[in-house]
Amino acid sequence: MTFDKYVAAGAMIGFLTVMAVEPALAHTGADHGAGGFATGFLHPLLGPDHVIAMIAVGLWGVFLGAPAIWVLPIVFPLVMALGGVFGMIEVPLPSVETGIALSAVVLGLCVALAAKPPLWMAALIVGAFAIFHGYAHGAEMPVASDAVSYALGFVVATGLLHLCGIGFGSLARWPAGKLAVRAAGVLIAIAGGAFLSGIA
Amino acid sequence: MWLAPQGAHAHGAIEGVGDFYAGLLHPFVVPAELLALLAIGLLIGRSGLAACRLGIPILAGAMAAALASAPAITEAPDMTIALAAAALVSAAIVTTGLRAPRWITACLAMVAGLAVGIDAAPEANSRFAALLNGAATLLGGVALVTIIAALGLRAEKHWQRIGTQVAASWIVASAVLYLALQLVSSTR
Repeated sequence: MTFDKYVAAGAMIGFLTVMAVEPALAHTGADHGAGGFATGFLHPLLGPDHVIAMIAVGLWGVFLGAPAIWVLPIVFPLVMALGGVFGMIEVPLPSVETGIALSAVVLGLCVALAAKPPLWMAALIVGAFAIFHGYAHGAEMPVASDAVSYALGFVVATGLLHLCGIGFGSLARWPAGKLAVRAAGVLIAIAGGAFLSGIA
Repeated sequence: MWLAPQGAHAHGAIEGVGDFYAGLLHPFVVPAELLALLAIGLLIGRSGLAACRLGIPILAGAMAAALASAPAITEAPDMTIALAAAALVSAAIVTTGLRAPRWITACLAMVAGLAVGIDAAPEANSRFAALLNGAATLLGGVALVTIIAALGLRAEKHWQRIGTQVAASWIVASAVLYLALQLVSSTR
């Protein structure tokens, strides 16, 4: 790891530490009230269906290579935010939980099969599922909480889950690692199937 | 480190911290201010050295003017929406990877500076304490933007530029969600 990468890692840790600070209470609590970064950060982490789908996005990005490896983690939060807006304004979106579980199945299978569609198609698949994930977050976004911190918390958590996927997926440069990553894809698809069928 | 931070009470209400540090920490502990300053720092840095030379003094001047005019404002408006909007536009430009014209960068720096200055208006009891608090807020805000701009300016390698764009996309997503929530709250 070069010095620049240490600086970048340090900056990221510092950024997250600063964001972990509870909100300032000077403004009466109406605008910087309870909730905040930690609540938003934990929200995607406490939903196993969200977690496996986010990790699958990172894993698939590695298989697809550049530029998908960074396009997908940029596309996902942006489209997820759009989905969040749909959730807040209560745009009818059928079977949100089914869509989230299906995202784990489809993305898991894409990793397991090492599928390499064109970038636009991969972005379309990931973006479509991001709508469902964002919708669930947006619909559950607490109005009374510190909304800026909450939103930033769950966006950052989502991004870090992608990074976890990318980190694990980087094992794919070795044959045994590639097998492990594809096996992870199988497990994600099975877990998604369990959520989809209501077993889990 | 994750567990250590405690609830921060700005405007001199941070127990045992005093007016200076309360002001200094204000831009770091108020999420909307932090978001706007991070976004404007990234934008200024990614727009090049000339934009830094113009944008940082404009931001500092606007912040100073807003902080100085705080005593004249009887009831400071909530600037969170303005801060989120400034963060959204700035971060969206960085996410696209485009280099904004200097006048756009300057305008956004001015909006962000004014919004942060009004939002962080000192509420100290004495005039000296208010001055100390305001000066510290100015120092903290400008230092944060300068550091982020310097990091953005130095981001020359491919992975560094990508990292900048990913961070900016996170800011865009957060700002969109916040603004949507405000819109929904106001219509209900």
